Amino acid sequence: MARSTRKSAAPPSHVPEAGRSRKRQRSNKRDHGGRDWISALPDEILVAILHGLDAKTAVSTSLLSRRWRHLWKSLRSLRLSEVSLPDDASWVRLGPMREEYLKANKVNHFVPSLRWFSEIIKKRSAADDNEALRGLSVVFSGSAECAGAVDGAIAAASEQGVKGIDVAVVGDTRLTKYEFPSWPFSDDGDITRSSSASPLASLRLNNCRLSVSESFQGFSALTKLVLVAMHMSLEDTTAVLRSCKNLRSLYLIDMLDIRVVRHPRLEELVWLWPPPPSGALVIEAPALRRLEFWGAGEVLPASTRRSSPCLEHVSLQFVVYGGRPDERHAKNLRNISARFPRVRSLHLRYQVPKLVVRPGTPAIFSKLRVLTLSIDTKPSDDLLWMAMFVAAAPCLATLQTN
Amino acid sequence: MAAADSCDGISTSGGGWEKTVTLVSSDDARFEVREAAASLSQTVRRMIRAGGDGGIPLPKVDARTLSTVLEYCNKHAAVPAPAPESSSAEAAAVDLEWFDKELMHVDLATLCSLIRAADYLEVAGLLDLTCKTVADMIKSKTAEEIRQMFGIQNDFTPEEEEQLSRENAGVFE
Repeated sequence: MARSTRKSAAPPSHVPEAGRSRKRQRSNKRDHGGRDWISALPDEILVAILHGLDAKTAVSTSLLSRRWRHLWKSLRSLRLSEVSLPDDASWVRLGPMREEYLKANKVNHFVPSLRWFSEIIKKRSAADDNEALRGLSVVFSGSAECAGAVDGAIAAASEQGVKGIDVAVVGDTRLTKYEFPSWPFSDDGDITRSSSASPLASLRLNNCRLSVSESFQGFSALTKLVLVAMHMSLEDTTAVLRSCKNLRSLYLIDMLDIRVVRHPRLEELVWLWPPPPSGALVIEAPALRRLEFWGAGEVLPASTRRSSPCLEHVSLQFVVYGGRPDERHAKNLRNISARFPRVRSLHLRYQVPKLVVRPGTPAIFSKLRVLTLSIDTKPSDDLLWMAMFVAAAPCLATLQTN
Repeated sequence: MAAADSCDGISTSGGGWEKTVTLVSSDDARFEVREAAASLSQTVRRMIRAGGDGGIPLPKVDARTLSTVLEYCNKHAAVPAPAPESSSAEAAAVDLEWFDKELMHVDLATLCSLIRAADYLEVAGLLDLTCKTVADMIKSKTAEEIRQMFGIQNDFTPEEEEQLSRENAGVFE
């Protein structure tokens, strides 16, 4: 490169104030008034702005001017997607998209740019904390043509000691069966990485496969694992959870084959839409402090109280639209009041519109400070429930209903 | 609250239930704000802890920018922090989102002042919001469109432009 980078930026203290109107303009029109306000922002802020963009768009800002040319190289995490996603797309809710939609919103040259980025990642110094990649996020169709390039990027990121990886497959996985590669993280297989264990701390997978061998050790630094609509057998899940020895936070969303969560160190569990009722769900997590559970069959796995004595924050949602009234609901709901003697915050949403459910004998919630209630059985049941909690929770500071 | 107890020197007019603090902008305008709202700024929070007389000076923020920042803080501190564990309060969230969108309808100079102020005052939520606003403006536009929108001068020589397109061939081919 012939020219040196222009790193000059106005110091952060400089607040632009050249004779502009004192009135705030409330209009959609962005008028730069002849001055380049954006480029005058300090490097860190411009990089923060680039973090809000997908990796390709971020790189394209290098074409703007010399000021922008090298900024994207400071990005510590990269987001790449094969389809352009709507602004408000929620990662957890990404799921199989219709083929026409995928085609219409396809990002050009996804595979070549993925390979290009993999090369760039490899060139960064893994030892330099200011340079090494920390996060990689990929959204793609799961197709076989892309799978190799995605695996390559994941392997390159792993060599850099990446801390967080997100992969979401938005194609029809019944056809593609993309499997997340665990081999780049296993210590026995990979001798290229200097330190033995992978420092991967957070892994979020959506709509793909994951299986590891009995002896797999690669997820030992993982503290957060999010699994959404994964294609995993009970054995796969058990083996993965066993390999995550230091896991603190587990999200299971729309996971149809998991009935048992057993982990000695788990502190947070979010379990939404577990399999429909056909036998008990089991949570055995003695260190659990926060639980969010939204099931259709049970208000809560029956074993929870016994096995999770430290629970402090509980959120339970139970919604049945239509259907016949069932006496079991009434019993469920009555029991909740006696289930969590130590809980500090409780969010209860219970909607079984066709049923009258009366609260049972109040328990004492000696530590409850925050309560959110959304009881929708027969009209005006909310008041009964509030009355019960207010009487039973002497420390209650916040009460919300909706 | 520990922070509130240790701020004796700061004028706190306990209007009703709320404790307030006074912030002073670079152009000497004084703003009396609820402490809960002002504490969304980590910078202010630290200064409250440190104590002091006659209000908290913020020499890097002018009155106009500060009033917008405080508009944000007042709105976001109004909701008694819905515990992260309560995933409800959806209506409140929608209202906040709408408020945020409205707040971002400003000209570029103002937006950049807000970014700098949010950075200096360490109001994390506002910094995220303003940066995201700029990122959304950049999205799905060509380089020329972005230059025009922001008033960026293309200062590349033709040779440099050619080199750039070669370097980035992998992404833009």
